[in-house]
Amino acid sequence: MDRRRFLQTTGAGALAGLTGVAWGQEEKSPRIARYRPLGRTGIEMSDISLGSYGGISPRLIARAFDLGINYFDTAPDYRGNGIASEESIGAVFHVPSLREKVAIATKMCAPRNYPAHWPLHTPAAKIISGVEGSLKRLRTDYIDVLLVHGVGELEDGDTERVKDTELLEAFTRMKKTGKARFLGMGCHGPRKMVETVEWVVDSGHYDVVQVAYNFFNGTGFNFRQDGLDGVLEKAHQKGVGVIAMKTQAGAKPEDVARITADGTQFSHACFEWVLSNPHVSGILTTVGNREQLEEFTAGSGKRMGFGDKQLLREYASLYGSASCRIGCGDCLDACPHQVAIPTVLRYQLYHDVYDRPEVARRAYERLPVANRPVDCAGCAAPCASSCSHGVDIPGMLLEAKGKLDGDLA
Amino acid sequence: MPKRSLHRIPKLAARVLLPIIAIALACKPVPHTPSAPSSPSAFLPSIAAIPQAVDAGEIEEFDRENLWINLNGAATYYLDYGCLRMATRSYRVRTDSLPEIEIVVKIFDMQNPLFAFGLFSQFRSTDMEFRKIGAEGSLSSSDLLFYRGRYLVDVLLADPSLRAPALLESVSRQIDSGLPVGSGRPVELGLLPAADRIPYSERFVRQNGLGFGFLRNGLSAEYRIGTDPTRLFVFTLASADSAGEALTRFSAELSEVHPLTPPLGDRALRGIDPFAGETLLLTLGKRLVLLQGTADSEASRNLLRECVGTVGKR
Repeated sequence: MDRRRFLQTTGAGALAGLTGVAWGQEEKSPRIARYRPLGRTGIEMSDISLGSYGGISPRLIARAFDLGINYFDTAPDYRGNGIASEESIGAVFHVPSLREKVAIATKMCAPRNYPAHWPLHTPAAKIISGVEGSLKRLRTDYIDVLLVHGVGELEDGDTERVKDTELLEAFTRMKKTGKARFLGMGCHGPRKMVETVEWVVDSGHYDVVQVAYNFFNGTGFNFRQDGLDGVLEKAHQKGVGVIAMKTQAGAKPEDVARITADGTQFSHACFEWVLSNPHVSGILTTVGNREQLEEFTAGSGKRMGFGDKQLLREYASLYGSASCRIGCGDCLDACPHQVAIPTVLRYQLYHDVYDRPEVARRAYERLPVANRPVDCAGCAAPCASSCSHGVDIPGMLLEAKGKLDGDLA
Repeated sequence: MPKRSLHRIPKLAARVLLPIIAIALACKPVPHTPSAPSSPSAFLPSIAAIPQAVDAGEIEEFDRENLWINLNGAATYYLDYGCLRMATRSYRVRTDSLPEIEIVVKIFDMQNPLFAFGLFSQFRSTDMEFRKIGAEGSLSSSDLLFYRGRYLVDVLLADPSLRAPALLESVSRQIDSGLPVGSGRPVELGLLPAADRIPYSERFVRQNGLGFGFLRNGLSAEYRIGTDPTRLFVFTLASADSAGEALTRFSAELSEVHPLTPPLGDRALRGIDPFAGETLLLTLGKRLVLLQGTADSEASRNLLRECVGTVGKR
């Protein structure tokens, strides 16, 4: 029996449920244990949900559905294995009886390799045409959450995209025709993240915010960061759904292995930290294979324990105390001398914590001189009060200069 | 010359030459040291090399530690495929038909042709136009991706809403002309039978083949058997034992599993994959071969026999 005839006779509806049931594995598999409302959308999303950057096989998507995951995030510029992630999702959920059981989110960007964000003032017609392409690849006639993508990644004016009248017009038209249900914004900084999220929440245009949020957003023993947490609470109060991404803070496996014999414990601790915030509906995570999918799903519904806090605290003290938080950007405009503060401190991290002094020095040498801390010694240091995480910026910049720059002041 | 003098010449020659020969033999040959690979920034074109370029940005270089600064979360994907370094530069170009536009060039050092091809094959798809640039190139609406040897090159328009295929091609060819010559497609593609292979369907995955962590280093391509395209996979694992274990684990995902008769390779099975239909699988030493999406027939068996031949040669 060839593939086409096989799928026609069994139906894609039969696929879900075949990824473990027939071979006696189902009773051993983890399942999603918690669903939370996504703001006012009416969507009850699985606390652990699936991102799909880099392509994902339909097999994994179907398996995720079998395990109870019901929210799938993708984008036209997510591709791997020669196919777009949107196509993989469409291959599983094009059957109406399955489609109505899941929420699919995609983004307004061009279908080519990253980065593919539509620039400011892209005409509404072009944006709509791009979404039509997504509908076709997803094999559906509606998208649950349509997001403006990666706000704050590019140049300084990039955050203005959330206010773009062409973009808002495009969404309004798609909502009227039933092609898109809710509007969202995805952001992991580094520029003006908290400010942008607050504008989005207050504007009334947006239904979902999707932000980089992880245990590094906390400080000290509290593990909470006033700026972002406050905005997320505001979002929740106004009925704007909150989804977290980058929840494992880009932790490297080798760093995790230094502090724990069981990597699973670390991932679950990360998820638990994020989901312990009652204003967060769910997290998005990417998986490469079935084993990882089941590991992450097993983290569903768990509550943070003392051991989890200890683990994250240890990781943060080793790898986070001297580093900038992803998506912060507090200090970006703090220096009157154009010193690239977050970049210099990051290179110092490579030198001190990652034990890569040569890498750090080479990277530092590539920085234009104007962006290096050459004038810090005699400066009034307005940057000192700019960091909401308590990082001693002036002291650390001077220390970085001493370590990274061959010429001392 | 007296006879006795003539008789001495061979002995004299031996006394002079033999030591010289001995010394020469005692010297170790100078090993040929291949030159270190060039930094990808060496291949970024100058402004003068790009027709109608009016300005260029600074060259930025990134390595494995800081690639994420340029690519954000996408960096993980490049790193998984072995990316060592990347250099990028943007150019402002004035054309007759378009207002001044910005082109971004990114050149990745992927360590070797197989990894460069592997990542290239992840991004290209049949809805792109293929271009004979480098070892292979693919053109989408606003970017052109190609590879040559260990280098993967992405030439893209900063504004993805624009279209300028001719400009992308000319810049790409300019860059290609400066890359090390003689580097075609990776030799590992020889594992896949050439006959009836659908062009531009080859792929290489380093890990998570078909969504399984135990399937690594997988080459695949599509073949036309009957009316449906069929995909053939060859995974190269650590050992024959690993291949046998992978076959056992994968067959657990199938239904109606039976031995393949007559047998092929070391161990051979057939079964039904819920996602790809009928599947034939066999091991050949440290390799696991899968053929998916076609009925078990003489034609599919012939393809597998050819694969046994091509794998056996490597």
